[in-house]
This record gives sequence, structure tokens and C-alpha cells, in this order.
Amino acid sequence: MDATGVKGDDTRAVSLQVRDLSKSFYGVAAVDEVSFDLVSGEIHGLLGENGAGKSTLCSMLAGLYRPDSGRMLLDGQTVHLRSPEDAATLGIGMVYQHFRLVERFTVAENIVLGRGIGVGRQARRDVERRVHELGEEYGLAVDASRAVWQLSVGERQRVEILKQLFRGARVLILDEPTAVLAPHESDRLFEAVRRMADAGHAVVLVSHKMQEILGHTDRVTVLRRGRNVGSGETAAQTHAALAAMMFGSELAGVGSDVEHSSRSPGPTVLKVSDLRVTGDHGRAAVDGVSFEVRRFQIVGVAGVAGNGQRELHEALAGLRSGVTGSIEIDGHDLSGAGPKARHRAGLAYVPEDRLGTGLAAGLTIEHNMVLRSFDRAPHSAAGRLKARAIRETSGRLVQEFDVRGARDGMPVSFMSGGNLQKAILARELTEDHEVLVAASPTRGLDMSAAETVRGHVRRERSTGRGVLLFSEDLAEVLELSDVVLVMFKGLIVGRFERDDVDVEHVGLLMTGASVTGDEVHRGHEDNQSGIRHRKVSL
Amino acid sequence: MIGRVIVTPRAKPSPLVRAGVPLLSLLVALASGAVILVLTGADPIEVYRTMFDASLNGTAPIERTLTYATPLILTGLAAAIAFRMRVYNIGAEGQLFIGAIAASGLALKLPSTTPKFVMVAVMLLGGAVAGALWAGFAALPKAFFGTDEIVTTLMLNFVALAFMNYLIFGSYSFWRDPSRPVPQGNAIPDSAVLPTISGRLHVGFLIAVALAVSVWLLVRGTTFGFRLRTIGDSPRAARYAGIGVPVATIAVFAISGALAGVAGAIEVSGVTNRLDPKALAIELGYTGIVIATVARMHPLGVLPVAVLLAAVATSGSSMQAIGVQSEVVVLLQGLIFLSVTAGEFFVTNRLGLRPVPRGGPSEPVEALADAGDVPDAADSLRASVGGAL
Amino acid sequence: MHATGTKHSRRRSRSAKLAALLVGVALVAAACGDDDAATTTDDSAAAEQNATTTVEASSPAAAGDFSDLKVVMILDGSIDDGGWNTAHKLGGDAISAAFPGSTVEYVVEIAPGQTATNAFEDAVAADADVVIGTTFYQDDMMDVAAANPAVTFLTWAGFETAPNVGHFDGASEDGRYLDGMVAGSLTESNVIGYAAGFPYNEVNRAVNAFTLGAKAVNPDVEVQLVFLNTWFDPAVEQQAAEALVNAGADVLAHEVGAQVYATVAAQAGGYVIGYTNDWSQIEPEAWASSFLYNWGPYYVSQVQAVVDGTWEPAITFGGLKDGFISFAPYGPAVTPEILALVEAKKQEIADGTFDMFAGPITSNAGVVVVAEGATIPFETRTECCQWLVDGVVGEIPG
Repeated sequence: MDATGVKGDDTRAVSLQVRDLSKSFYGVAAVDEVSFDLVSGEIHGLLGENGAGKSTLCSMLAGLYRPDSGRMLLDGQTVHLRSPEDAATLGIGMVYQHFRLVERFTVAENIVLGRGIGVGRQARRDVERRVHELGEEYGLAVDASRAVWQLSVGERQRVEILKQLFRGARVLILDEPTAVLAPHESDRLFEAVRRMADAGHAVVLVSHKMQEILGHTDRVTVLRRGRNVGSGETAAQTHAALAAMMFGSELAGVGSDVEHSSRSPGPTVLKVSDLRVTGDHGRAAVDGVSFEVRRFQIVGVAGVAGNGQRELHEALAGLRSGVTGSIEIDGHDLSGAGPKARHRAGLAYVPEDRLGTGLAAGLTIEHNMVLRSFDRAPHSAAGRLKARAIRETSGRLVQEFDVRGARDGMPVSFMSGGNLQKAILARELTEDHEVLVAASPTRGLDMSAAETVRGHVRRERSTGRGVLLFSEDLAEVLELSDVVLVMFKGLIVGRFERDDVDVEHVGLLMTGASVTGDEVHRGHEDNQSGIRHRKVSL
Repeated sequence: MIGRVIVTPRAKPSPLVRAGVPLLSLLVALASGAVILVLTGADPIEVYRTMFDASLNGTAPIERTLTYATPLILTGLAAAIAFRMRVYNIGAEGQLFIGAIAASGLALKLPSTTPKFVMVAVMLLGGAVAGALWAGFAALPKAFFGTDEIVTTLMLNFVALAFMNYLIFGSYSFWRDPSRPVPQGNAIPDSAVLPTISGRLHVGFLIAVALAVSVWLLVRGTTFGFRLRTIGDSPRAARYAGIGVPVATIAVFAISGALAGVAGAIEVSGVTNRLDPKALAIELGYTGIVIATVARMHPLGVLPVAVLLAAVATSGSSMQAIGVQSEVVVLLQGLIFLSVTAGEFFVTNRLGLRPVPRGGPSEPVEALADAGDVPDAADSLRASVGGAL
Repeated sequence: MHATGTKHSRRRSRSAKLAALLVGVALVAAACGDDDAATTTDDSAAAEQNATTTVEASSPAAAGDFSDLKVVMILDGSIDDGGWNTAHKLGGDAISAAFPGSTVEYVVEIAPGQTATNAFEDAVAADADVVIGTTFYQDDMMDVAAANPAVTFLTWAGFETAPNVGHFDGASEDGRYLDGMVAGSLTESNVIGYAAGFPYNEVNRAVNAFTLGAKAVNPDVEVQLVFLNTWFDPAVEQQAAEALVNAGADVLAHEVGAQVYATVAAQAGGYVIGYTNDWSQIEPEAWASSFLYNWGPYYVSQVQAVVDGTWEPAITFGGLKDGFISFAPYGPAVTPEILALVEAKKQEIADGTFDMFAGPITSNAGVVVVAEGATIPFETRTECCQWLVDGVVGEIPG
């Protein structure tokens, strides 16, 4: 620490031993006597499904939760963390999945926020210089004088990491860091993480993506249902072995199903022409897109979050105002119709936020299961709800879609993400729907739940429906889709048939990185779907 | 011992907790009230006995408590149904006045020979319609322009009060009895007076209870109630479900206003028997908001809360009559009601004690934004109350 | 008053109950000394006069133990309002003083309606011998009275007869006429501002008496009258007071509740006439005068009759001659000359040698409302007035 209070990067050797940590919520053990070791220079993977206890464990390491029992030893000394500040003081820093940055502040301001460092010009210059040095050293370059709102998601993540390094974190915990990144950004992140480890930091990498764990960690600890079910050198592990640990014997052959529709697509079921959507800030979020979805076809929309996908699918569902252009289902124009009319016309919609839009969080599963159909027979007659019919429908859907964790009279918010998603699918995938628009349907779900959801998406195709799938997980889009559309800045900038997909190309289009010029060739309409292309040079 | 209190919501409170905590809160309030009474030189036993005698001990005290509770049940319902849908109608006060004006006007206008059943039905209906229309002045701007209903309903309360005062004190209106030297309303005919059940307790109480049950059934068992609950829980989910929020807003406003209007009509027909601004302007509407809040917007919960508040309120003059200062009476009343209200927090939340190994005051736990790993915690409120215990 | 005063006190006490209690009691205590002197004078006058009322000379009861005697007084506001309710509290104090050992309890903040009915029942349950209601409670308590024939009830401004119910009211116009004389003497602009609440008989009558008094000493005076249609609303009253000053008024009189008239008058360098309140300590320079109700003699005489077993129901309407009206201390601007004029007229009213409503009286609409040689008899004054006397600028709305 120098005279201005600017703290340096601390690369002294460090070791963290976790012994029998436990934490319960409402009597349910989230973390159950977990032990593992962490030393300088290693990247330690923490692998597990959602709900396996990864976040809870990390929250304890970071001082956010206090363990019910168990110990943590830092450099051989038992430590008790009462707050994230305690953890920071001891050199433990966590980078959360959701960033904690003040948009209006500059990078430097965010980094020193709450550190009691002066705001004088000299102090600021010192901070900016130090941030710059750290960035250079680890490959996390970012302009420290820019405001956070001007930064991309990847840059923001770098700011979060720099913040922790700046504060002298020797142990860095990264919670699902790639969830928000495009592929090439992920690669860059892993390079930086490796450099940190080489410099003597100890890094915990939380992930449920097998490839990341296998490709970028030195050791791995697998959690299942709150328990440590195995630790060891990553090099000694195989994909199959780790999967077996993660899922136990419950799930055999996950991910092996890569069957695709053998038949050619049917007639057009969803047709979108020149759709424009005004975003929340008054600017065009979707700037004229046209495409169609045919029966027996999954159309995937790839793109980095914030490029108009949300506005597009909300506009399709009828949830947005400020929409121009036309939307047709089976040839019926629904451009002016509300959400209910679209639903009745055959549109099933899985929204991005499960609690809040997809489900009314504080209400019961029964209520939510008939959210779209409560005012029709058999769920009501002459304005009166038919409790028995509602219970029957709900019970049937819960059974059919294997929704678990619902209890009588309990708000659905107490259920896990996977079950919430299954509940939404159960309600949306009625017998008479024609097309499914699904927005990030597997986001945040554990592997088995995600696979279940993908199964439903595939079944949609095999039963002759059309699917429009939005996902930030490129691998998922590529795995499922017959046609891939790439969105960037409110436009569809690429269209690929399944057999012609070039992953590298898609990744570049998604990030707009190598598009020549900023100009979009608006006049140039390409194939039959009217996709606009940007010129791409590699 | 140094410790920290951890608060977590209960998914479903047990019946024991449901019933036990309010009783315990009451005892705590009475015990701390006793200390105050002793300090002011009063005999707590005598005061509490007087209080109990005046409000609950025997037929006549129960009659008057239930009579007093009647309008409070209705204004409590008015607030509960509206607040449940996040429509903050604090205009029950004014809607009650308008209901009373309409009901007394109808009673004076209709032939006094009109059969009682017809007369009373017309009055209650008239009160309901008038209250609903008055609420409409706030409902339409809210539904279509998003105008803040807290401001509009509050202003409408003042307008309604001024109008009622004008009718009786400010003019020789149709409502005013010109023969009385002190401004008073015209007495309504006998045929417009609600029959009594027992003593002063009139059938308005039964009507209020029936309406509470009806509102409960409406919220629980109808498609309208379904819409209302959905909007109240999540406006976005409601839009997604194709529920028209503006229409529902207007409807809930109308129901809320109608309930308050009926309260006004029942007060005229059952208690004041004339348009009596000073007897009506005793903040029945505002008290209804407190009742609804304590009842956590549950239509049936409004019943016991309104009765408790009425018991506490009606016993006030008895304590003063034995020499307890009015300030102390207000303090005692506030203490009892506050304790029971605060007790509600412990019914819906669970306290846990967490020892802190190292000394010093604890800092609040930072809210966990993303706890996807822990299904239960995702929606939980984590608060840290108190420090060292 | 009653209504005005009570409403006023209720609002104010709710907002700052304890503070108001302390300040109010202190002010009242400070003001009492002077008051009591005036009361005593009026008492002697009352002792000689009681032609039309049942008020008996309130000779203090013979010394004795009255520990069995309990009086409960029920009030609409709090007893520290420095106006209507404080006047009744002083009447209660007179009972306490006259009957050593007796208990007088005050039940405050009781709105008319079922709350009042409950309070009357509670008073009976608390073993009261006499229950006094100080605002219009008649409709709320007649049933309670009928059910409890052994208890005596006294209520303000009622009219229904019952064997154990007596009614009482005070003639504010007697005080108002003299306040008008003070105002008429003090004004230099010949414009007096008058803010009233709602227009009904008692209010109109007081305005008329006030104007007649002012015109008696200053024929050129005009009284700018505004009806505010509120019982108590400091913001509205502030605007009204300022508007009246802007219209040229250099003396402000009022009948609604807030103290703003005193502060506005003081800022304008003018004078303020109170209404059953004493603001001589609040704006000493601007303070001119105010009549006060004086209920002590009536209460004591009634309780005495109950104690003696000679009590009879009656409707008592009392004025200056009955000792019902007294005055706050006059302000420094009221010169000995003015005071002499006022005191002389006070005596004439008390003697019955002066009748303020003797005709001819012309309304401000130019109509002769009381013909030459006619008058408005004291007994039927409460039926007046639905007109405003000549000299009042303003009209009865509606």
C-alpha cells in the first residue's frame, strides 16, 4: 500500500483448507460437510449441477454466508468470516455471476468504491495507473477512466476481477464466469486466469460446463447434493468419470442424444416481416428483422445478450408496445393482437425470467398451471373457478412434466429453477399450440434439467411444431437448431443451415468483432428469408 | 452472549404459531402497559378490568364493540382488496362519506312508507354505487394515465369531507334539518333504520361479515379474483397471461369504493340515523387501512382485527371515566395494537440465533443477489435485526 | 362555538397532544388570574338577575364532604385547547372547588355518534351522579339517560325534554357586541375583517351582533365577511386572513380555529379579536379582546340542586346577565376611554336596559328585518338569523 492508499496486487503464496463446512436453509442441507484444499498457483474447478451447493459453498468462502459448522484455514490459521469485507481483508475475493458495478461510475471509481481511497486527482491517477498495470500483467486490459455503462459484458467482468486483484485478493473465486461471455471472450478469460495462477494466486473456478473444467483447471472438486463426491487432479479425469460423479447413477447417457429430424421442414408456421421494436430507452432495439419458422424445424437465435433478442421474443409474445412490422402464425396476421390472442392462435412462449413473467412467484403451482386458461372451461364457468378441474389439470401437468417440489399452498418461488422451467413448459406446451418461442430455456438449470428441457424442444420438432429458440449458450443453439440466426445490434447478421454452420464465423458475427465498418448493408437482401448480412473478413 | 438474530420467512406458519403469537403479543402489551399505569399512579388491574368490562365482558359491551367494528370491517375490506392488487386506495374515508350522503339522501327522498326491506336495500345499494363512482374519479386516471392513486384518493377524501360539511353546516341543503338551531341532518324515517339484532347491535354487522366472506370467495373462487391475485403478485405475469390490468384496476377500485360506500350507508342506517358529519368523520377509512395491513390483506383476517381494534377503541372512554389520562389511554391503545401488529412479523418469519465467535457489533449480511444453487434461498428475505443479544 | 372550538381543539391536540397539554395548561393557568376577577363580577350580576332562566345564585355549597359525588364531563376535543373545551374545564374546576372531596373526571376526544353513546354509558358505569356533555350530544345520550333515571345529565344546546336531562347554551352575541365595539373603536381604515366557518344561525347572529357593536361606536365601519367552509384549516385560514388584510382590514376577527389571525394581524400592524380564546400572551401587541364562556356558575348551581335534591329539568339559555359570558384581558391598544364605553354597555346589557336587537334593523340587502319598535326577544334569539345586518360586506352562501 503506498501513500495514497492504493493497494497492490498481492502474490504471496497462499493456501486455503476447507474442513467439513456445512450450511442449511430451512432445514435443507445446501452444503454438507464439504472439505477441499486450495493452494497457490492452481486453478481449482468446482463442478456440480445447479443446486449441488456450489454457490452456497463459495458464498461461505467469500464471507457472505456463515457456515453452520466446519472450519476454514487460511495459511494454516483458522479464520471466521463475518462479512465479505472480512474475506477481502484476508485476501479472498469473489467475482459474482451478476456484476456489482455502479454503471455511472468509472472503472477506477468502481474499483476503489467503498475503499476509503481519496478522490483527489493524484489518487485517481495512481489508481488508474495501477489498474492499467494489473490489466497489462494479466491480460485484462480495460480503460480505467471509462464509465462502466460504456463497457461490454466481458469488459465489466474484467473490471470485477481487477477489483479483486486491486484489493489484494490472493484467493479468487469466479462464479460461472463464462455464462455471460461469447466463446472467444471465454478463451481470453481463461488465459488471464491461468496467468493469475502462474503469478501465485489460487483460483476457484465454478462451472457446470464439463469442457471448461476439463480444459482449464488443475484440480477439480465435484459436488453433488451438497456433498463433496470427489476431488483430484483434472488430468486424471475423464468426461464420463466426472459426469458419473456429478449425476451419480441417475442419469446415464446425457448428451448422447444428438438425433436430428430426418424429415425436411414443413410449411411455414411463424412468419415475421420487417419487425422493428423500440427498446426501453427509446432507441430501436430490433431494427427490422424478417425470418420464418417452419413446422418440423428448430430455428435458433444466437447472440450475445443485449443485442435485441429479448425485445424480439417479447414482441413476438405480444408483451411489448412500440412494435411495427408483421407477425403471422399459420398465415393469420397477429401483429395487433395481445398476448392472450396470440396464445390462443397457437403461440407457446417460454419467457426469459421464469419468476415474474413466466410464473407469478408468490402464488401456488395450481394457480400458475392455469395462468393461461383459468377463464375457460373446464377451469371456470360463468366466472367461477372450478377448483377441482384446476387441481386436476395442475396435477396432470405436474405428473406429465415431472415437476417436483410443489407443495399445497406453497408459493412456486420456493421451487428450484429446473422445476420452475418444467412447470412453464407444462403449461405452455398445450395440445393445440403450433409454435414455441423459448427464451434461454435452459439458463441456470443443472445438466439434467437442461437436458429435459432440450428434450421437450426436440419433441416439439418431432410433433410437427416449429420452434424459435433464443439462447446465449452457443453450443446449445448449435446442438438443437436446424437453422441458426445470429443477432447483433438489433439485426439478424447471419443465417446458417445446420450443415453449413461455421462455429468460428458465428462467434465472430455474434460479437461483431470482425465486421468491416459499422455500416450495415441494409439494401442487400440475401436469401429467401430476407436476412441482412454484414460483410465479414477474417 | 454476543449473537446475531437471523430472520427467515416461514413457508407456512403452524396453527400454534398463528394463534399463539398474537396472544403472547397481547400479554406483552398489557404487561408493559401495566408499568406505565403504575408510573402514572393508576391501578393496572382496575384499569384492565374496566377496559375488559367496557368492551368484551357481557352482552352490552360486546354489542357496542361489534357495532363499532362494523364500519371498520368494511373499510378494512375496502383497503384489503385494493391493496392486494397493489391499488393503493386510501380513499375509503371519502368513499364512506359519499356512501353516507347517498344513503341518507335516498332515505329522505323515498316515501317513508316504503317497506323497510326495500328501503334499506336501496340505501345500501345506493351507498355502494356512490362509493364506487367516487372511487372512479381516482380509478380512471390511474388505469389510463397511471396517475398516482395515493394522491388522488387522498385529495378526494378532503373534497368529500368538505362536501358533507357543506351539506350540513354550510347550507340549508336537502339533508339538513332546518328546525334545529345547531346544524344537524334530517332524521331518516323509521323504515330506513336497520333492524337490530340485540341491543344496539344492528344487522349491519351481519352484512359486514357476509361481505367479508363474499370478498374472500370473490378473491379465492372467481376468475376475477384470479386476475386480481395474479396482478397483485406479478403485473408482468398478468400481462403475459393476457389479463387486462387497466380493466382490473377499475374493477377493484369500484369494489373497494363500494365497500366503503356501504360502510357509510350502514352507519347512517344503523347508527347515526341522519347524515352526521361529526359522527362519520372519525377516520373510519384510514383505520381500515391499518386493519387491512395487520390482516395482511386477507378478507377473513379483517374480521378479528377489526373487532380487536374496535374493542380497544370502545374501551377508551371507560378508562378516562375512571380517571386515566387520555394521553395514557391513547398510549395503551397504541401499545396493544402495535404489539399485535409486530407479532404478525413473528408469525410469518422465523428467528434464529447465530453466535458470533469474535466480539464486536455485527454488520448486516449483504443480500445475496444470486443464490441459484439454493432453491429455498432464492426468494428469501435475509435480514439481520439487532446486534448483540 | 362549540362546534368551532371543539373541532379546533380536536385537530390540534391530535397533532401535538403532550406538547399542547403542557403549553396549553401553562397558558390557561397564566390567563386564569385575570379571568377569575371578571367572572366574580359577572357572578354578582348574575345573582341579582335571573328572570328568564333557572340559574340560581351559585352560592358555594356549605362546607362538607362530597367524596360520594362524581361528575363526568364529556368533551369533543381536549381540555387544553384554550377555547371552547378549556372554558368547560374551568367550569369543572369550579365544581371541584365548590364541592370539596368530589371527583370530576374529563373524558376527552369524544366525537358525537356511537363513540359518544359509549362514553355516556361508561360515565354511568363509572358511578357518575352528573354527566355533562359539552357539545351537541343530545341524539347520542337520550337513550342512556332514559335507561339511567338516577343520573342527571346536562348537555349543550339540546332541546328534547326528559326528567333527568337538562340543556344549556350561551348567548355569544352578548360578548360579540362588545368585541365589535372594541374593533370599531380601534380600526383606522374602517374595515374589519371577519373569517367565519359555516353560515348558520349562531354564526350569523354573532356576526350581526359584532357589526352592530362596531357600528354603534363607528358608523362608517364595514365588516368584510368571508365564510371558509371549514372547522379548522390553518392553510385556508392563513390565506383568508391575508386576503382580508389586503382588502384593507386593520382589525381581524374570526370564528374559525387557527391562531393565524393573530400572527397575520401582528405582521400587518393591526389588531386581532379572539373568539372564546385568549391570545393576549401570543401576540401581545396585536391583541385587542375576546369574550369567553363562563360555565362555572351554571355548573355549580346545577350540581348543588342535585346534591340538595331540588334539581328540575330545564333548558337554560344564558347571556351576560346570567353570568355565562366573561372576557379575556384586553390588549394594550384598548384605551381607558374605549374600555369605559365597553364597560358601560356591558352593564346595560347585564341590567337588561340595552337591547342590541331593538328595531329598526336593516339587512345588508336593504330589507328591514326588525321593524321600528320590534325586537328579537332573548328567548327566541336562537331562531335568528338568516340575514346579515347592514354594514356586513358579504352574504350567506347557498
